[in-house]
Amino acid sequence: MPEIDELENRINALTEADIESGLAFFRSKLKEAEASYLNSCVRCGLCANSCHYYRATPELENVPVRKLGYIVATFKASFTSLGRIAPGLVNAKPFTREIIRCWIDSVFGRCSLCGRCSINCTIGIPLPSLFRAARATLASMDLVPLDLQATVNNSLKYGNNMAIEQEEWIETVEWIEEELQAEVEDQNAKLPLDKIGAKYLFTVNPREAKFFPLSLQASAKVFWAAKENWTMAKDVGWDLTNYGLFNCNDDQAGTIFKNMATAMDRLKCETLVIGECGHGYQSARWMGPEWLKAHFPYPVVSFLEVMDEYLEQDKIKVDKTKNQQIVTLHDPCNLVRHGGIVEPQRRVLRQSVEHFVEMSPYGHENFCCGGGGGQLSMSKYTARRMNAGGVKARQIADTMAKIVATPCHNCVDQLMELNKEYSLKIQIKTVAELVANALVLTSRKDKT
Amino acid sequence: MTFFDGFLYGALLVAIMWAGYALVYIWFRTRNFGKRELFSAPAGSQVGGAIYAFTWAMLPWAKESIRGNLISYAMGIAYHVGIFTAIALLVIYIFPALHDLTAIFLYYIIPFALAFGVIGGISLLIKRMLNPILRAISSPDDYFSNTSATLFVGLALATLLLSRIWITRLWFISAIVLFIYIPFSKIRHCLFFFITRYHFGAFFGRRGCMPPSKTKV
Ligand code: SF4
Ligand code: SF4
Repeated sequence: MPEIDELENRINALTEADIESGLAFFRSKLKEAEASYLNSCVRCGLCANSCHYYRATPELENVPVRKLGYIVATFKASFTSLGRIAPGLVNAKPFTREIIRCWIDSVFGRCSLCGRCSINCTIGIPLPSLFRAARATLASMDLVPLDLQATVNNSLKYGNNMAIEQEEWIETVEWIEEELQAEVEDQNAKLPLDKIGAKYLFTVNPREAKFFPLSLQASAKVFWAAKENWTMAKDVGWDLTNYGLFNCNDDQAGTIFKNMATAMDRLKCETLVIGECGHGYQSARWMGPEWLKAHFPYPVVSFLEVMDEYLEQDKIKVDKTKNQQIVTLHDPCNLVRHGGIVEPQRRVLRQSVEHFVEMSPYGHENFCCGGGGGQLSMSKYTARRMNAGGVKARQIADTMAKIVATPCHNCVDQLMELNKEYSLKIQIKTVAELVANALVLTSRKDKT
Repeated sequence: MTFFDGFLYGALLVAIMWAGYALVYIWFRTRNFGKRELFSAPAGSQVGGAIYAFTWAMLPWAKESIRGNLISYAMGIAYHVGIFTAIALLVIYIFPALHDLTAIFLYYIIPFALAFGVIGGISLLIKRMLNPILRAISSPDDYFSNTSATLFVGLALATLLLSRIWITRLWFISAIVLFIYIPFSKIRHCLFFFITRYHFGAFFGRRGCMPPSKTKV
């Protein structure tokens, strides 16, 4: 059965009590800040062009304020006196099946939670925080698109979102370790698992284990070159992804995040290092403590910051002439606009590649690739995702770059699809892959 | 002063007090939603982010949405300057003692500010009516808010230029209507703009995203 019908069935099956409790849940997700945002929009429409969905298809439903409007309409109808007395004056609309359909279509189907609209909003409304409240409400009513929820369920059941069994994980790590040893001709090059008291607990995207072992090998090579005391978890806790950030079910997100927190406690590491992943970084660095309602006694850093520090402290040396092609950088929204990691990747790339060019715009103004917000896992919206990704494709094409570096495996996936769809003829690499390629291995034989 | 004028003054005062009281009430209602306790370790300063949000982030070149809509931005600025000027003029009219002190502004600066305000208000209204996207996202309140505020600014200008008592009375009536309407309307952003922008700056400031780092190629 196509999912659109499946979701529709679930909407039709809602009882009035379900709808009421959904509304109560929505209310519980709002704090003073969100209540203020919901009172602030002046419907100037200036956010329209900031959204890649609207840029790609300039139609009403893609305008950020239109998506916000459905949420504001419910808020006004349910929680403001004026919305109850004169709904027509302020477009207040009660929380009905009809508006629920609009919520689903706009917050799941037309938004990657990239936050570009918020930095362009006249007032400064952080729209994604309201879209998240709406997604959370829908999650509480069991109205999350099935395949997005399936990804979350995988993490809850297996401890990683690709349902990789522990045995398979360990075998993959051992195999990558052999490859690394062959590459650097050093039997001591290790991908340590469960090393108690290591300085860094390194976490990875399961896609690296499943489809992109070279990414993990590259990160391990950097650690090896820096003679780092690091480890990964053997059991759950090695996966940095958390699609609970996208279905916005905070309980599930917290449970998934707990895997990493528990691994940190168990292995007594000093620092939690998040591999190259945008949403993984936002989840662990910013949301994890909120989900668990706990202050962490250890820092959470991005692997980009680690590589940046290695270069700054001369722990590794790179020769940029080893990366001769033009390289541009795609900024993952969760890492840059919402994460605050903007410069480390640039400092690293400037030292590691010969020709580095920025996209236009870049940094915190960069466009989403289209794969964020869980879009990659929601098959019913694939056509919209690929269409919206056209904005990114044009940005890339304009740089004339041959390589797009991006510190995020979700972005890698989307960029690979865009590469095909828009015939970009580019290679997509993580930052670590470029650094690993440029490493100058002074004390050991350089095989790169 | 006639009885009618006295009534207008009184009604205006009540309307202003109503607007102030109602806005504070709405603000308290949003405060009742409660504060969110934060647990993640900050990477930057909330205050720094908020200061940035109210300063550099407001400049025309700071946002793509403004860079690409400079005319709308200019019209918006003119409109708001006009509204604040009209309110200032209202205060001058309520307290005649201020007349002499502000005479130079009254004749040389205020009329221009009000005229720009009227142009700004009307142009934004026309834009809202003509642009299909804006039309679709608009509620009746958007039109009524704009019209009532523009009328208030326009009548302030007419009062100043034409010095007719009936125009002054109309201006006072428009002010009464406007102040009564503010809490019901999107003009409440006169309060929520500051609250929202503070939260916006504090959120991004805490995460070290604001002020944005100066990247260089
Ligand atoms: S820019 Fe902000 S205030 Fe203007 S319509 Fe969009 S969300 Fe509303
Ligand atoms: S968060 Fe991004 S995708 Fe969603 S409406 Fe805003 S700009 Fe568009």
